[in-house]
Amino acid sequence: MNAMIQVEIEGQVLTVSRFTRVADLLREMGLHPESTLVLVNGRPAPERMYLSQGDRVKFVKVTVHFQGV
Amino acid sequence: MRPLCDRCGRREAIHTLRASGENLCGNCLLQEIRLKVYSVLDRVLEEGDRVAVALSGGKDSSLTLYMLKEYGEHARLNFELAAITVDEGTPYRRTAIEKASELTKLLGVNHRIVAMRDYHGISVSEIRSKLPARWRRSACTYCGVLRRWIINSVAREMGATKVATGHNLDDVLQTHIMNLARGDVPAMARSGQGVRSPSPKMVPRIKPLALIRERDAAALTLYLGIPAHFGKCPLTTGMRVGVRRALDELELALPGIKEDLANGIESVISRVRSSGGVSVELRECKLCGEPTTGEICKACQMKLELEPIVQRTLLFGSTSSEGSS
Repeated sequence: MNAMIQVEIEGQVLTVSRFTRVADLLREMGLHPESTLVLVNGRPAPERMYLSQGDRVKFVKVTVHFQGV
Repeated sequence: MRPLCDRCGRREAIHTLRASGENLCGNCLLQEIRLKVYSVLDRVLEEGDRVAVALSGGKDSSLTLYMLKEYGEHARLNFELAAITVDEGTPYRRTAIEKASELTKLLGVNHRIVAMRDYHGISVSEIRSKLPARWRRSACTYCGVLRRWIINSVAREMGATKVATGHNLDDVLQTHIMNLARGDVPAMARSGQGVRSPSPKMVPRIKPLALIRERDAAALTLYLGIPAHFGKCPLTTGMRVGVRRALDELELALPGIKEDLANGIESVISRVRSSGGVSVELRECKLCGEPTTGEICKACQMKLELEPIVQRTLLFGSTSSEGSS
């Protein structure tokens, strides 16, 4: 079994370990888990989820700072 | 591969609650958030209330409107619902305002969009473009104060008995920390849910998402497909950004500290309030008549401060035509 998989991260195809979880990806990309959500194939993903071959990953910043009401 | 939900064990998980470490499916996440939001609404809403939601079109205020509508449909209480959106006049706001319109149409909620320029004679874009370099306040500060003034004034005009805002647990906690840093105990005492207003001109505010973390609200908004804008305001600066980052770092080291801190501070505030240690007296602003703790309200103070910068009168309803280029 191949130890590496290809996933599309923000439109860019990258090769990662098949044991990469969403939480690992956030850490590797330097994104803060408190302020970033991860969408995998268009759906929010839990941190424990392992990525699979061909997954499409997007990051959503949840910090808006536009309230002050 | 998606893990199964830690609660129901049947559906695929879509989100991790960082405080508990649980992975939840969309349905269990909705139940979790609904329970907390309803517990707040049960406490702060009264029969016959007319609730105006301050709807920016962002995820938090959009989820607030959605949950209030759902709460009303579960017939737990009879109350009226409307939404107010302030157009601050920045290009960034276009998408959010469109999302706000889309959501109110979808939910069948009366929606009023008002322009900051019509109320204060100036837009946030203009403030930003005219502020001198290294000015003591950011455009963000002016925006917040001027927007709050409009929302209170329009809500009152609409006959609202409560203004619901999209403030989530992170927002509430950041505000507490900033007030603590400034030693502003009266502001902390005023910050509770649906606190009786000392002035009939000040519409009491409620924060239905006060127990919900920002990231959990965002995940649920995405899961439910609620029309909402996800984006960071490009004008954002100031103390709140630093406090937010510091709290996020603290949370990494001590999971659940956000809830603990918010609960602890709320408990201190409620003791201070019940001991009668802080009384807040509101009077009418000498210039605009809106409620204020001082002689002149913050909005008028800021407009007076801006007048020499924009070189025109901003008080007393002066508007765009006076050299606004």
